[in-house]
Formats: sequence, C-alpha cells, structure tokens
Amino acid sequence: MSVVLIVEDNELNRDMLTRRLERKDFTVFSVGDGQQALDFIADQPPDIVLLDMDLPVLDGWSTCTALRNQPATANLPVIALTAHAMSDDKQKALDAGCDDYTTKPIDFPLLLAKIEALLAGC
Amino acid sequence: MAESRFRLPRFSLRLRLFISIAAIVALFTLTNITYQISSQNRNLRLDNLQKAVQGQLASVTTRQQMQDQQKEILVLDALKRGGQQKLSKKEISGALASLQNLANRVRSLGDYAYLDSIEAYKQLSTSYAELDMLWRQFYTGYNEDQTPLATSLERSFENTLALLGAFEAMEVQAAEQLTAQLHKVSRFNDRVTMGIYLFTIALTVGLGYLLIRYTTQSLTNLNVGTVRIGRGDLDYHIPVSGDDEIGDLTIAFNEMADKLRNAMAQVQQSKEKADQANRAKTNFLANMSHELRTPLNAIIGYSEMMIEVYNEENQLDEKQAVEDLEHILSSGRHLLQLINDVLDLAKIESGNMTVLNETFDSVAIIRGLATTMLPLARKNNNQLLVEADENIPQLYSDAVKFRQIFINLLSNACKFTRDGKITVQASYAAHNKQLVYHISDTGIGMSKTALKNIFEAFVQADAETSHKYGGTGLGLAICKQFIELMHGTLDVRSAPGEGTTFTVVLPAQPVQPKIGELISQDDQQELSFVLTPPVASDVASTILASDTEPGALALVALLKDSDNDFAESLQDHCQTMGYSPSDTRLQTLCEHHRPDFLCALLGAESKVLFASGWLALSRSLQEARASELPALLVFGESASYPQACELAARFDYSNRKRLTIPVRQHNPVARRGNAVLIGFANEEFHGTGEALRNSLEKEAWQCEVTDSDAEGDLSAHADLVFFALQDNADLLYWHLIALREKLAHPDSEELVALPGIFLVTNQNSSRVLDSAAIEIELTPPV
Repeated sequence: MSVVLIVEDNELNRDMLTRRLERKDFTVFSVGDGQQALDFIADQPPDIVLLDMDLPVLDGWSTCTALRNQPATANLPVIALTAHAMSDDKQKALDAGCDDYTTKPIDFPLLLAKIEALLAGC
Repeated sequence: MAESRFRLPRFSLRLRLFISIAAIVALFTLTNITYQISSQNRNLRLDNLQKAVQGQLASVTTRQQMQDQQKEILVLDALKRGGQQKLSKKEISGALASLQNLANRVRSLGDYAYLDSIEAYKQLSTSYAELDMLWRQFYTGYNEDQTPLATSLERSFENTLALLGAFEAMEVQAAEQLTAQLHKVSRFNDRVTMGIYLFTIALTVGLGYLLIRYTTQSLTNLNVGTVRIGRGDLDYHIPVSGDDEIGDLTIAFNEMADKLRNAMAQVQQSKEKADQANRAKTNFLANMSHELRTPLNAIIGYSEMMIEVYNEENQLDEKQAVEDLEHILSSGRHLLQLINDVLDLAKIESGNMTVLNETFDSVAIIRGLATTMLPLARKNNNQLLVEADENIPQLYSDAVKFRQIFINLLSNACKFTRDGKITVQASYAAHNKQLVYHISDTGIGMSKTALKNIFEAFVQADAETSHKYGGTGLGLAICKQFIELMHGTLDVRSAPGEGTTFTVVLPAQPVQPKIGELISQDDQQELSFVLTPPVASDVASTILASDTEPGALALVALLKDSDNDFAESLQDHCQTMGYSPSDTRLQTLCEHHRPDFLCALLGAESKVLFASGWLALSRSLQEARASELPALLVFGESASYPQACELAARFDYSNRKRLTIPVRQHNPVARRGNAVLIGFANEEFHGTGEALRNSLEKEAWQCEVTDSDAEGDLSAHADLVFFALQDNADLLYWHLIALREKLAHPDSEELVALPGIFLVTNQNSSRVLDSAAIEIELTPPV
C-alpha cells in the first residue's frame, strides 16, 4: 500500500489523522517537525507527504522548498495542511512547492480524493 | 544687550517711505531757497553794475559839455580881446542857465558815486564849484571887462577835467569789478543749484531703488515661500527680511506653516494609529481563525472517525472510544478557553469588563493556587514555592480576576520551565500601600525583542514555543488588562536562558468608591433615581480632591438602558422625574438641596436622555447662580467616558474634575447590615414596603420600617435607606437636611460611613419604577 508521511506538531491531530488513514489501508508514518520530516524522507521516502505549515524547528514552507530543491524529492507529492484559511495563505503554500492544499478542520473525504489523485498522477 | 535696551524704533515700510519723501521734499526746498538767494544776489549786483555804467555814461556826457563850455568861453574871450563885442543880456542869462544845467549834471554824478569813488566825486565837486564860479564871473563880468584871467580859468578847467577823468576811471573800474563779481557769483550759484539738483536726483533714485529692491526682495521671498508652502513643503522656512510689515507677514506665514505642519503631523499620526489598529485587527482575526481551527480539527476529526468506525463495525472499542472522547473534550475545552479569553479581551476593550471588589487574603489565594497547580509544576519536574512576608494586609480588589491572573502567570511559569524552580514572593510596600508579587521561574526566558510584544494578543515569543508549550497567546494580554483595571501594574524582566520574573503591583487600599454597589439592576433593566450622600471616607477626597467639603451632598442619577423600547419608556419617565426642560422637579430638588456635586451613571445609550436632563438642570442652576454649579461626576463604563467629557464640556464643567469609574454590574448591595425603610406606611407604598422588607430580610438584612425619620438618627446609622417618595418631597428634604447637619458637625473625628439611599417611587404607576422598587436583587456577588 501507499506510504503516507504526516508532518504535524499537534499530537491529537497527528494521532487522529494517522488512525484515519490507517483505516483506509495506508501505511502511515508521522513526525513532529520539518527537520524530522526531511531526515525521514531522506532515509525512507514515502509516496506522499501531508505537511502542516506551522511547525517548530523548520516550518512547512521551508520544508517544502527544501524538498523541491533536492532532485530525489523534487516530484514527491506534498499536500499542505494548515489552519491558516486566508486566501493568500493558500497561494503561499503553493508557491512553496506544495501540490495541493487543504485547510483545517480537514474534510477527510476531500483529503482522500486529493491523496488518491496525486498518487494516481505519479 | 545694548541693542535690546535701546531699541531703535521699528524701521517699518511706512517709516521708510515717509523718510524718503521727507528727504526729497527737504532737498527740493533747499534747492528753491538757494535759487532765491542767488537770484537776489545777482539782481543786486546787476543793479550796481547798471549804476556804474550809467555813472560812466553821465561823466562822459558831462566831460563833453564841460569841454564845449570851455571852448565857448575861449571863443568869447578871443572875441572880446579882438573886437570889443558885447554880450546881450539874453545871451548872458542863457549862458548862466546853461551853466546851471551843467552844474546840475555834475551834481547828479554824485548819484553814481561809490564808496571808492565818493572821495573822487567830492574833489570833483569842489573843483567844479570853483570852475563854475569862475565861469559865472566870466559871463557876468564880460561886458565890464572884469573877466577872470584866462590862465586861471584854464587851470581850473584842466584841474576839474582831470578830476572828472579820475572819477570816470573809478566808475569804469567799479563796473569792471562788478561784472567780474557778477560772473563769479552767477557761476557759483549755478554750480550750487546744479549740485543740489543732481544730489536730489541721485538721492531720489537711490532711495527709490533701495526701497523697491528691498520690498521686491522681501515680496519675492514671501512669494517663493508661499508657493513652496502651498505645494506642501511645510518644512520650508521663509527668511524674515526685516522688522517691518512684510517681515510681520513672513512671520505670520511661517507660523501658519508651523501650525499646518503640526496639524498634518497629528493627522498623519492618527492615520498611522488607525492603520496600525486596523492591521492589528486583521492580524488578530487571522490568528483567531488559526487558533480556532486547530482544536476544531481534532474535534471534528475524532468525531467523524468514531462515527465512521461505528458505522462500519457496528461497535466501538470502549477503551479507544473513551480516549478519543477525552481528546474531543480537551480540544473543546481548549476552544472554550480560547473563546473566553477572546471575550474577556473584547470586554476589556469595549470597557464592559467590570471589577467586583471585595476584601480578601491574597496570600491565601496564592497558596491555594500553588497547591492546585502542583501537578502541572511536577509534570516538568519543577518546584513551586510561595514566600510571603508576614505583614501583608488584606487586599481590596477583584478576587476572581486576581485568581485568573495568578493562574495564568503560574501556568506560564510551569510551562516554560523544566527541572527548575518557580517562586512566588509576596511583600507589602507600606510607604505607598502597595502589595507586590514577584513570580519568578528558572525557565527558558525571553529575548528583548520578544519582551516588547509580550502583552499583545496572540503573541508568543515565536511560533515554535507556541507549539511546544501550548496556550492561547492571550493569557498575558488579559493579565495585563485585568491588572490595569484593578489599578495595578504588571512588569516583566527576563533574559534568554535566565528565567523570567513577572512583577504584579496592586494597591492595597480601595481606589474607587462603592457607589456602584448601590445600583440595583435586574433583567428588566429598571430605572432608579437614587439619592446618596457622598462616600464620606477617602472616596470623596480621592475623587473630588479639594472641591468638596465634608458633608457635601451629592445628587446621583442612575440610568441604564440598552434597547430602544426601554429607552423610550425611560425617556418618558425621565420627563416625569425632572429630566426634561419642561419639568421643574429635578431643578427644585437641586435648588432645595444645593448639591455640591452631581453624580451620573452614564450608560452607553443614555446620552440623549442625559443631555436633555443636564441641560435643563444646568440652565436653571446657571440662571440662578452660575458660580454655584455643582461639580459633575460621571460614573460609567470607560466606553462612555467621551460622552461624559462631551457632556461636561457642554455645561462648561471643563475645569472641574470629571472621571469615569467602572461601575459594578449585576451587583446589588454587597454588605449586610441595617436597612431603614421610610415612608412606606401609607396605602400606596405598603405593598412595596412589605415586598422590599421581605426580600431584604431573606438576605439577612436587619430591617426597620418607619414613617418619618426627620431627625435622621435612625438612618444615619443605617447601611441602606429606602425612601418612599410621596407626592411631595418634604420627607426626603427634611431627612437630607438632617443628614447634612449631622455631617457638618460630626460628633467624633471618625469618618461616618453613610448609608446608601434608595428613592422608591411609583409615580404615574410606572412599570419600570415599580419593578425597580420591588425587584431589587440582593443576591451577593458570585
């Protein structure tokens, strides 16, 4: 099955999303900040990354930019997850290199559809 | 120094013009005078010259005639000697007449004589007289041969002729001299005239040039300056050219530019402020949205998942479900906390946050909190210590807010400290009656830049800490605002890695009166018209400073409204209560009691009502005695402060003390004690009195019902007095007089704590006032 990496610092949200995705038969890994995410991806590249934007150590935008700057992960599908709901926040995420964007609270079916679409496109 | 002491007169434009014109006129006059003098001089000399020339001519003619005469005589003498010819009588008289004529002519020469030639003339005259005599002898003696000797005649003639020649020469010389002088004078005069004339022209041109140049320069400067200032270059300073009218104008322009610049700066400043406020609002909203979405994500996510699981499997794993529900609950609580915090902030900002003061032991509260928060402290392996001095007095403040502040500060300290120590130190600064609390931790600390914004909403040192340590980012903002509401200060000292110390300073003494405690309010929002004596103790001195003497009487009007219907009914009642220009009752009350200050509780929407009421009042008082206008004291929420100011300005209270005092809402009388009900015995008020008494006694008040308390003995010792306002206000009036007397002559040095006085009336069977009187809520504050 596809491997999903959740990058999220809020414990509850991380736990909830992990379990919901596992129930949909994804293999889910999760980390708490951007640096951990980069380390994890370098070690064990997932099929798709769900990336929170407000992260400690290295925020989501920088993490995504870092991923895009490495040839190995330049095309890795990344969906931004963020509680910032203003219109320019979305643009900011896309500018940083994210493939798609979804606001919290997460519309789970929509998120699944987005994940599947991105995975199918690979 | 000398310049300022002996200041020259102002060299103004007018003075300059005047001097120029005066100079020109003076020179013109001088020219004229010179011309006149020289002309006179010349004329005189010309006359003299004419005389000299005439003298010369006359002497030549005389010489001619003399020579003719001599020739005639010589001829006659020759004839006589040869032919003995006799002269007729007629011939002799003719000759004598001719001689007389000649003598006249010689005499007339004297008219042309000068100082120089007068001597010559005298000699001539003498010599001629001798000649004349000889000639006359010659003619008279001719027929008798007694003629003088021809030789003596000849000699006399020659002599006279020589003298005539000398005279003539002198005349010629004089004429020549005069001519020369005339030339000289004439030339000199011409020169002087020309010189003055040229000088006048030069001066006129020079002065005109200077004047024009100076004025033009000043005007050009002014013009350039005004154009620049007009273009918006308000920093430009027009050079001031001199102490004259244009200089004044320039200074006026510069001042105008200065004022404009200041005004512009102010406008710019307010604009920047407004922009900043706007940005802050936008940021706040964005942050708010972000902060609300995070817990909502968990709530929705877990709920959806649980429903999903249940739908798919028709059952839930109990343990897992409880865990998930706990997650939902904690997120929900976090959300609630966030919303409460935001509401608190909004309330503070709109001025609706009220302070409920009571006396409490702050150290006990802190110790209690320390116990409650021990688990939180231990979570990060922290020690929590409370150190309090022994002399710490009780605090008169808002206990609920006090708790909230310390919960916040302590939980912050616990959150940001690991394996460290959190200390609360409480001490009392007796000199300024302040309680000082230090909350120190040995945690991560903050940088200087972080400290700058620490008390702003949604600001945590940075995003990382927020995620690592949690919290809404509103706690400190709220703490700060609360403490300010409580008349205290909150300060912070910190350095990265060296821990943080928050210092809370609160005044131990009450800084505000308890007047607000007299207000009764229930859900119906009634109107009560309350008379209360001033709060005798420190309140009067704090609020009114030197304005008020002890025993001052205050007339307090309390209004509270919020919806339009109520406002309308309120307006009706105000009219019946004297808050309208047509009614005289409030005015009468004021005139009778001559209050020293007027208190008003100003609700957010009672502005119009108040305006009309106060207008009537102040008008009537002003007409009576303008100097005796009572001080206006407006109580209200801070939001109504501008209105209060506007009101005060309208009634010329600008120089008086006016302030707003946060009034306790929903708080009936806090104290328990004696209540006196006066005037409730009659039929009209009996029911009301009973109801009031029942409700008071239910709340453990001691009640006394009396018909009249004119002496004031009873009510002076009461904590609360209720008056039933009869058709006439006599009772009230006498009671107030009695109270005043008592206050004016206090029995002891001790300050008398005066009762709150409620005026109960059901005039016009008013729904609002009825309910106001009966349904006074006497539940203690939570």
